[in-house]
Amino acid sequence: MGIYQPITEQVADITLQRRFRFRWWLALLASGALVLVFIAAVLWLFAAGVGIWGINVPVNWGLAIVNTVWWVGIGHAGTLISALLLIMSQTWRNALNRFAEAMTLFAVLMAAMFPILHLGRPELFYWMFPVPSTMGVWPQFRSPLIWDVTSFLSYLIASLVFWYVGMIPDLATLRDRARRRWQRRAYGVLALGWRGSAMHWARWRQAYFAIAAIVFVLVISVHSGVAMLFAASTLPGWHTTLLPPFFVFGAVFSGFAVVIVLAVVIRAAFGLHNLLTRDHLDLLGRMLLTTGLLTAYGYLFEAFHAWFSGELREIATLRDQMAGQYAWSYWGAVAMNFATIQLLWWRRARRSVPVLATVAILVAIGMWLERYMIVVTGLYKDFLPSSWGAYQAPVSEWALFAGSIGLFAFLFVLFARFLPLMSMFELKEAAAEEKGEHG
Amino acid sequence: MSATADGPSRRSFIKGAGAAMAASRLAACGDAPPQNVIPYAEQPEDMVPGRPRFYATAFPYAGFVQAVLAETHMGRPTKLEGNPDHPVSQGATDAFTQAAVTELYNPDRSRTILRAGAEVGWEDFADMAAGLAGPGLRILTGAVGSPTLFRQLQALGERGARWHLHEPWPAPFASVGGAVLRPRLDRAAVVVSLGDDLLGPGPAQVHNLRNWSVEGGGRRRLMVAEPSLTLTGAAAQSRLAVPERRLSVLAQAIAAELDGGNFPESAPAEAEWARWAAAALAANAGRSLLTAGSGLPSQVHRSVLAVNEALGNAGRTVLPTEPALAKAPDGARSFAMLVEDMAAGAVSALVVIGANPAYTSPAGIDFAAALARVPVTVHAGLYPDETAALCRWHLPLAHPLEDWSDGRAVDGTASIIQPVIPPVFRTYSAHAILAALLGEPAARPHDIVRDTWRAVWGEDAFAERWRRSLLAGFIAETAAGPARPRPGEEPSAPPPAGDGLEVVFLPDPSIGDGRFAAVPFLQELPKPLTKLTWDNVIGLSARLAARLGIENGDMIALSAQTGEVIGPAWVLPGQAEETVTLFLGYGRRQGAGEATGRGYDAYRLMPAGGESIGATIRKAEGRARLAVTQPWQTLAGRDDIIRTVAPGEALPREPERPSLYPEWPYPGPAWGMAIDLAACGGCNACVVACQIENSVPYVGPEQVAMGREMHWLRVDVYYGDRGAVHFQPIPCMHCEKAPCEMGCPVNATVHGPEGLNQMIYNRCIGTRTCSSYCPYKVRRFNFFDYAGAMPAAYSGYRNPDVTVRGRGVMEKCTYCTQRIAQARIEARKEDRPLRDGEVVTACQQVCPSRAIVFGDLADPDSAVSRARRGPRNYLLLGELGTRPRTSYLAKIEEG
Amino acid sequence: MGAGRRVAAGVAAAAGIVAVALLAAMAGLEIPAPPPQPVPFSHAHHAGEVGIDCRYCHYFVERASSAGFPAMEVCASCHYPVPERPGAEPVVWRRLTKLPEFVYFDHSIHLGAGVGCATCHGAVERMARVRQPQPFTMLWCLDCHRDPTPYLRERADLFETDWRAPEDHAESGRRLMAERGIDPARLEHCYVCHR
Repeated sequence: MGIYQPITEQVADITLQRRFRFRWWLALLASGALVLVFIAAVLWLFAAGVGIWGINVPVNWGLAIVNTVWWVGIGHAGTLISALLLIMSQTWRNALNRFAEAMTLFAVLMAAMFPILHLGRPELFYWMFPVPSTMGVWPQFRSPLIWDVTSFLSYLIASLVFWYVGMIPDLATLRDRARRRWQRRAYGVLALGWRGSAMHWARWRQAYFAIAAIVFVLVISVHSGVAMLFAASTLPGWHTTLLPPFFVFGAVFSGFAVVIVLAVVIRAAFGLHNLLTRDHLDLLGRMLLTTGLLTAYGYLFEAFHAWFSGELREIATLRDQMAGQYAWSYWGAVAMNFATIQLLWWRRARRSVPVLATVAILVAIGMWLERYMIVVTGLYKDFLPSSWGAYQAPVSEWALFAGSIGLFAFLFVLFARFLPLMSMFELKEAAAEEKGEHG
Repeated sequence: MSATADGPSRRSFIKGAGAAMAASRLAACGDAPPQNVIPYAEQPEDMVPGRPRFYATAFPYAGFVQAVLAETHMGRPTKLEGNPDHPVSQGATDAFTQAAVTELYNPDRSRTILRAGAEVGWEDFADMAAGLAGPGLRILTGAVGSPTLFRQLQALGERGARWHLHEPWPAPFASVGGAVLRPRLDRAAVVVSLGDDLLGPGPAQVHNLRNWSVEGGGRRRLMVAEPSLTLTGAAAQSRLAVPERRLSVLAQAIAAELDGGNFPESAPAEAEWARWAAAALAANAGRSLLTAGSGLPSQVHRSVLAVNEALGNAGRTVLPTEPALAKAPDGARSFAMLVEDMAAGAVSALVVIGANPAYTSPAGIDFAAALARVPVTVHAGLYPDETAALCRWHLPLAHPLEDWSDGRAVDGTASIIQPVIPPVFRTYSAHAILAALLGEPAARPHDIVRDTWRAVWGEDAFAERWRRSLLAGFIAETAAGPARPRPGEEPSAPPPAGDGLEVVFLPDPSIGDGRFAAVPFLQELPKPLTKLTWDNVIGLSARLAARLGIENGDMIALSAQTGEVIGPAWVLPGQAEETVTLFLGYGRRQGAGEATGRGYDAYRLMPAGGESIGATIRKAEGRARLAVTQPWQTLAGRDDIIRTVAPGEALPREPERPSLYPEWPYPGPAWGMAIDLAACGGCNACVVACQIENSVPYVGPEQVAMGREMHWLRVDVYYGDRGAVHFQPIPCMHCEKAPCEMGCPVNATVHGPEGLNQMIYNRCIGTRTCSSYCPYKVRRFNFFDYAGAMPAAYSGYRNPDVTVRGRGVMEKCTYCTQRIAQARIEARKEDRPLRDGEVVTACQQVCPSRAIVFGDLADPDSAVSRARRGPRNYLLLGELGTRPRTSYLAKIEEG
Repeated sequence: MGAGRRVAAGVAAAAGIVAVALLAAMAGLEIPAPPPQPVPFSHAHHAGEVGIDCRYCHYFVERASSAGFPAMEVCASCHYPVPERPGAEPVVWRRLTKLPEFVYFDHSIHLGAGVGCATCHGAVERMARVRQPQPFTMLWCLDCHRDPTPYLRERADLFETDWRAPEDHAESGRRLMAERGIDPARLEHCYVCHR
């Protein structure tokens, strides 16, 4: 029992025992303020219409699509860490998977909101779902948007189920340890009557692995689908088969960056240095470097393809990316996504919390810039010079973006306080195995 | 097809109009259909609900009328089409006439009689007016082409009143010795123009474009010398940019080259061009035409006429005819003399009808100060404008579509103007006002106009000829007869203004001399050569701009002897280096609706007659945010967008691009369009026609500056190598393999069984994917509720057969699907197939140069199929495999 | 044990609420009640008892998109013999059949194709107070546009008030479709009704 008790106490006490500290309240208030910004931006948007944004013809997609692609990308690392590493029996995931999954869920929620908010008539978003109606009209299944609706929704549901199923044993632990009546009731309902019998564990393991297998496929399909939104067009810079893998790499890359940021924060805030060790950070740093290099490969070959095609318009788009009106987004992305991660070749950098956190934040920003570059540079100069235009996001779009970060943080802050931050039983399991090996 | 507005049908029409207005879809902008149904008390015999009626009438502009058929739905005029039988228009109109129907409902129009700013009744005015006729009374009008108005003015003249004329910009055709020189471009193989904007906006544009396009405009050799690029210069194969003051020298040089006279001193480029032009004229004697801008000094016209006579062109490619406009008593000095008399206190009463001299007075004539010395001042106008503000009395003038009148087309052919709607506001026609001055305040314009023609035709023939003329829309065989120019020596012109910077003046291409400034649809019409909307600029050459270190939009100040204007700079391609162009029509202080206060007022510098002046230029403070619909105006290396062939050359056939999608079956018609770039003159008539036909809203300068204009059909302009200017009208391509159809998630844009790329507004949720995917960017998005943001009064002109689009939906060219549907329903009811030419799109119908052909591609004998099989056919961005149904016919250029 | 069952109960309750909401929404699709009219006009009397042809009052139905409402003089032609005809004031009827403004329905082409009045308007000759007998939803329209055979009549029968589709309507309908060049594939596309 000796090795398990501290883990259980340490994690479960965060939700059950610890008092709401000032810093938690501060975080809740700060993110809550941004949630208010989000609500205000949405109300303004619904009242006045998407005309309040800076979009136009030809750049008729703006920050909303940038944000969608960015958020759903972030949502990739959580599932990848959980599902892929679970299937590969990488036990180091156990300290990370719970909050990474939560991050996935919230990020995908953010991502799913923007395509609805950006509609000209958002109240009719459900026409994209195959709902029988008195109109007798169905969605148009050739549209990548329908693929996105399907993949987002399935990813959201699968991630939610995966997260929840994975949490059931821990919820039962919380139920059993809870002293207050409301906690016992709440966690009791959520634990779905988990008793930890051998039968429960066997069924649970089957279900958990099955879902993991499904979710892993979705990781690939979701961002490929998002990439098809661009690649299925005819536009130079978008219309390329490179886009789907490029998008998936980039997504996982940005996701790992945000996982690192959250890990560093959680570690410091709840004193979990012993569970979330520097070894974990080191591993995350390596993953960041790996996925970053894959993304860099994408940059390289995007440019190569454009040049190699010899196609006037492809080359012109490449030139616009590098030297056009929005070249800052391209070079910003290259600097933050490629240059900064070179630090991670050094073990000391990977194990240094400030360095790793800084690199991760820069990568998150850099990936956003890259999405901006893809959306705006792809649209502002297309085929006919007569229809070329320009785009600048006004405050209404930025407010929505900032608000979505706030909403994400708000949900995460609540999660950190009310649900088990780490997978207690899996940590214990790993500890037991370790002990078994050594002892 | 057309009906007359008098006789029994007019009676019932007026009677039923109130009910009709209520029952019609005036509430079309809301979501719910009207709750109530109000049938007629008495059914008008020929009024079928949902079926438009056409009245033949005419719309006057700068004194000349354009014959039109006015489409009315339940008593509301919704669209004007050119009268296909009229010898000038032949079914086409210009952009101004297209927008005229919206002016009818313009909420900025004046609607009450004002005396010193207070509302009074017609009787008050009539009482006052009855006592005015006498020697002190002066009437000031714009150009008068109406025989009835002229008859009334003469009647007033007999009572001692004096008529003055003020037209801010010279009439389109030059005149020599009392004869008007009307060009016939259809008979000319070579045209040499010295600053004559034959194809540019103005009352003669339709006349000239129609003639120019006979047998394909691109096949005519057009040589133009001009200071500032015009549509004529844009169509020219050879163009020389020279200051305006050099044009008379060029005329002299051409004449000298042909008759062996004294070749004037000129720059090498000028001399070469003049020799070249002279050679081309001589080589095509009898089939060539030399013409000069009507604002140039009269001795230039004398010598131009001499050249044409010597070459045998006169009477063939240029017709000296009797003037169609009434001649003002004091000739060109008419307005100046009036102001002198006013200032001298010799005028006891001034009645201004349909003119706005307080705004359009040229520099050096202080109309406002002189007006202060006139005891009784009356202004009648469509808008409460600058002149209205200065006059004691203001009368709201009836719109030409609201009351009876008459007029003459540019060839002199007379038309009766019949009302197509009872006055929208309580307004009065010029005839009624003049009748009041003649002491007959109760006389109806209907009777006044009939009296004019009764006198011409005689009592016996009158009834029949009147009826025939109303039905036809014009009076046959009334074209102005040939005239012999009186010989005479013209006064020698002042010597050219020297070598300094020259300022030339041009009316604005979209709002004319300012008379259409209050029409938002024209304000938002991109000016053909700059694609600017809602503002005027100071045009200058690239070299001058570089020398001054200024870019488009930087404010510059222009100082002349007469004053100073400050406006945003704009580099005009093809501008003569030492020449600056000012555009008239802006800087309106009052009565221009949403455009009031926009731009600078060029009249403050312009001399009477509009000739060029000297000035100095300097950089001023600040930058203007200009609303341009096409910021990039070069091809950026993408030369296959505009293709050019040598005469007789054929383009390679477009290969059929492969597609993974199955072919669409076409059991019936498969619509398609071909646009002839060799014929397109860039006049913009199609853009406005499309806008009116399809109830496309205007969005205002801020939205245009953001890139959100709504025009379904745009005319792209590209400046190519060697001064080439290319116009390319872009409607929806109706791609056979449309990227938009594939992108839409909700089936809101789908392929129809007749090949149309259908856009279903009520299904659209506004993802804008279709627009992102569209390689031609022809789709327009309602970022706001643009239709609802327009003044409610404009719902009057809206086409009841087209859905009004709300906020958040995409829209685009439909190939006028409502016209296709109407034709299909009629054909189906008669159990017959559609005939070629039965469906005519709005852009095709209006095009003065017949550049657009529309029809069934499945029928190999249709006009559009023949055009597509022709040697010049090509697809825009064909290599993308979208297989557009709109194709282009290449421009023609000598190799 | 309890928690799981409670969740199940909660899910069942939620499902119930959703079902009720859906039913309520469906009720919204019900055919609206006829609005009160300014004149208690009875189609049962005019079209049924007296037997006036539809076209006597709705005289544009074969020519125009709108069937037309009778002008007062049409009413007066029976009700007021000529000498004492009063000054006519139009009656302001309340609209019964409301199509959205983006639907462009044309009466004349439907009659031209062989769809009789009663197919959409029901047996008005038996309605003292006329009501809308069909929901007029898009799916309802599409039903006929996709397969018009059961609804097509000989032209002579168009204004028959008690027409029944013949037993062999599949066959006779197909014959009429061929005769009139009706192709359901072309009737189904959006621009037939929307513009």
